[in-house]
Amino acid sequence: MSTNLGMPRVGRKRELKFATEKYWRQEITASELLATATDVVDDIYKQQVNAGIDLIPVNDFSFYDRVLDLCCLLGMTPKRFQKNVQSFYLDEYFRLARGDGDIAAMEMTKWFDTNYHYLVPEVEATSNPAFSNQLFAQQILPELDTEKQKFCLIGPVTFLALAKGADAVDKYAIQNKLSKAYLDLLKHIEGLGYENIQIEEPILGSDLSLKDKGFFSTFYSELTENLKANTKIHLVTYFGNVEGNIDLISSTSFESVHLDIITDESNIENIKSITSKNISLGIISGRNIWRLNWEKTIEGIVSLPVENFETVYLGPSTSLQHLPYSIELEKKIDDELLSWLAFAKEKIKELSLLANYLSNESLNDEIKIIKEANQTRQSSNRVTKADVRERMSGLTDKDFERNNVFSIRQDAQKKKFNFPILPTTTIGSFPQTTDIRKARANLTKGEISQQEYESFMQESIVECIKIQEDLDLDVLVHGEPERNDMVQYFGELLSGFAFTSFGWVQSYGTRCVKPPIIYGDVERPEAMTVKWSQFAQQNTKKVMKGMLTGPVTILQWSFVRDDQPRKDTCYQIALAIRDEVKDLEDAGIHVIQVDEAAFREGLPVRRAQWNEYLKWAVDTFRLTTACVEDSTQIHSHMCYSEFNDVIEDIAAMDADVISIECSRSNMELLKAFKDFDYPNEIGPGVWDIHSPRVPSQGEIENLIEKAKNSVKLENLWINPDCGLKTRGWPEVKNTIEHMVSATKKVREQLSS
Amino acid sequence: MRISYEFFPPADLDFKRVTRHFNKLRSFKPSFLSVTFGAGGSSENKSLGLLKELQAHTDVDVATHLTLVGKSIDDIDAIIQKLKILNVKTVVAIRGDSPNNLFVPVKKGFINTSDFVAYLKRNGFEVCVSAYPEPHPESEGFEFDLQLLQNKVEAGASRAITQFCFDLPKFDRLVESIAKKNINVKLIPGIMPVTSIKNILRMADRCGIGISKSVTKRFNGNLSDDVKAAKELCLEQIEYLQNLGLDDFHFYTLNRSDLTYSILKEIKANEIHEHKSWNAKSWQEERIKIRN
Repeated sequence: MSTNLGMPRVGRKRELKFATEKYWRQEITASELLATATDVVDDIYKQQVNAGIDLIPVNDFSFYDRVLDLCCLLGMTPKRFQKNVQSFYLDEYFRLARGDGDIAAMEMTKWFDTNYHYLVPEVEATSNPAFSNQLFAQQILPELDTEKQKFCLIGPVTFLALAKGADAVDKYAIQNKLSKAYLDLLKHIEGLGYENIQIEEPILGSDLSLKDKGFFSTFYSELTENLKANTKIHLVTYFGNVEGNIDLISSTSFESVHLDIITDESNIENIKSITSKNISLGIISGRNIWRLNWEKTIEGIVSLPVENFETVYLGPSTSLQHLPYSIELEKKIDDELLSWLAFAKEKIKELSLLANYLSNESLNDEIKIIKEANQTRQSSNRVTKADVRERMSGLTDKDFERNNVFSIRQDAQKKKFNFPILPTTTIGSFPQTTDIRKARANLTKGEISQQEYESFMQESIVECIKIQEDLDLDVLVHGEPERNDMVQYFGELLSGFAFTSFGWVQSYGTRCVKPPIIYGDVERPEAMTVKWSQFAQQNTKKVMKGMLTGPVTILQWSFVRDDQPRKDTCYQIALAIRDEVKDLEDAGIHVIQVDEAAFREGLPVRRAQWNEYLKWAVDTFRLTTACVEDSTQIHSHMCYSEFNDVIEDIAAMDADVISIECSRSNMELLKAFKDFDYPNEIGPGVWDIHSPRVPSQGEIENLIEKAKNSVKLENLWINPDCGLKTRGWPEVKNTIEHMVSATKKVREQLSS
Repeated sequence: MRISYEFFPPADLDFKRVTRHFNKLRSFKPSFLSVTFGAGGSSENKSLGLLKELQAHTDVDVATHLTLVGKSIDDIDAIIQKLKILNVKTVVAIRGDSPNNLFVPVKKGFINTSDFVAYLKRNGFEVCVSAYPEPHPESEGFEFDLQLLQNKVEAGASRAITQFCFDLPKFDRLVESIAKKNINVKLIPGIMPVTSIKNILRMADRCGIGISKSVTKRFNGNLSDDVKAAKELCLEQIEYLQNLGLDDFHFYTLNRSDLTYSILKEIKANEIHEHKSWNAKSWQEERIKIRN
């Protein structure tokens, strides 16, 4: 039997996104938004029926986020959102996600190790969970089919585990009321006529606290006796191995239990411990965009220890919401590469083909096409490149080590650059104005020539340099006007990458991203940034910083090939960027920043697997940057705010200077660096660039004073929190002026 | 005083008969006409047929009623296409009656009338809506109806035609509330010239409104007496409403001309004594002055 766990829900061509944004701008009515949503829901349901899926998820749709839906259904909306009696419920719902004037939106954070963001439930002292069916007035569902459909919900244990308690509130204090509310929700769903209910508890794939375990036992042990006899609860886990939580799962009689055996193959070991009547197995990836490997998948399935189960459901490892809609829409990707790809629509077809094949073993044309694609992919010289392989196998420890330790390098760098104490710089990008975007769009449309485009960009660079010189910054950047995106820009210039036209994946709410596809060995055909940086350096006497994106970030924000370990792909990218680092150095750029914005989000869900990841993630950074002279200064930037648990690894990256996001925490984050006695130079951000506010010189002086207490003076840099691409020029100029004056004032105080 | 007439497509499709009645009423110079619009495909064509026929007999705007109940947005789009071809400029947007008075939006349909109004407005129509001196039978009360009216006006409706109502002080409440809530709409009372009390009662029952004894007892069953009574009733009503500052009246002609004709003729004769034309706001100010 085939099943699915969820579909992408923004529509074939992001129809829901556009309709929702129009609704927010009051260009369409709620009725029209609901009509668009109905089309999206009907379409994804029809695709699954047509594909022949036996048990189809419904209510996998959401107008914004399914955790937010659950907050509404369980009466868990934060107190600061006083309900406006007259308003339409969907408006209230969007207020929670987007804030309203001075009322801050609910916080958003990454959904496990994906690039999707959910809204974080808030448990307050006043929280009083109770089922509320108001949201169901806007619930859009296909016509009821009891046999074929399962109603999907995120489970209460995951919900509470992901919630945050307000100050001094023990979030677990609400668990009894939450259980009651959730049970009422389930009864309501029974009342709608559904017999199959999918409860998703992805938290079971991570390390559970004792309180989470306790809540799981209490909730699920009482569950079945409180529901109708014909209600079937399908427990779904994904994103990891349920090891350590298997006793919990087995203590309740579920209709079926779903295990993700793709994310972590060793989850197969847990199959024999599952005591439910049926089992559901995630046997194709819900996270990548590759056609399944037919032979390997069949072999894998037939060897699974599933003889004790009445029914075996074959499903994707996770919900398919993390995939684009369909390859049918792609016109620019060549046929061969396209035949290797499967997006959501193609994946559900694969599931149904697998289920049918396993019951009657007859090969049809569709299967033959998949097998052919498997073969061309395995033998293609677009995928495997001998010179890349050779270079990989020839790597030695030396390639990962700078010539000398940091203290020696620091001396060489101080001598060479002679920066003032507390050197000032920025993180790299400057405002991407409308003119810049327009020039890029015009180049794509062919309305201006490459030459015209380049001279326009050069003018922008010269202007950007002039502004930085006037502001008297110490280390300048060229401003990155020529870059569309920090990953896409490099992907487009590297071989082994492909770009889709409609490969959109929801990141949060109506925001979607279009990750590049890494299909083959990565190589750098020619220098990618050298001419821009060189041009910039020629236009100033000050030091110009070269700007690159790090290998882990490029990897994390792409769809990565599945025919070799992620680690290997990351090493290949590292080698390509390493060549760029070297070329920049040769071209006279002697401060080079390699950003690793996504370093932390690559951490596996399970703590036990962290070390393995951190080892190669750190290594790839070292491989990228170790090729330079002692006197060349390597910078890195990290825009996240939890360092305690990875500080050792950040130190191991051995960048000469790192800049971090710090202003929002009021320099609290530096404690981790102080406690660890972080050896290299640090630039804690003194301007929260996520807000359009211009901080005063005094405020920045205060932050610098604080930073001085945690970081040795000779190691301290002054810079904003992040790149300035999304800010406007006036606030950028103002704030940097304040930042530089504040720095100068502190310098004066120090010298007197 | 500005007047307008409402007609409906007759079951026998004798549109000529309707236009004959209209022609008798033309001399009073209506500011617009409206044609009701039933549910379902066949009556849609009937309404458009009558609309076309009336358009051929007049230069004034012929508005069409349009209900949203039972129609998806796609259905509405199809109708809008036809209305555009017929050069219809004004739509009277109404939710319409639903079975058991329980409104359930159809799949991909409008979930409320104000969304429907906004949609029509965006499609270039001038939009007229309904207003209720007495709460609508499905409504949660007067205040609730008023909020709906406000929503419809904020969505773009410029005129509101009222349900017929013989309990005149109820109009005071409506006019006063509209002024107080600053709802920017031209209120047009609907006038129902009906000679038979039986018909009045039947229609009142259908619309969920009450008819007081003081009204019923004016009818004795003798046709000529009843015609006179009906005429007086309407004239009294119009005078009362004019004193409230209202100056637009929509006649539910029921496809007949006689009674409406005699009412309007009487008014026309009296119009020499031109009354003061008040609007809702100045009326409100006047009231406050009197009170103080």
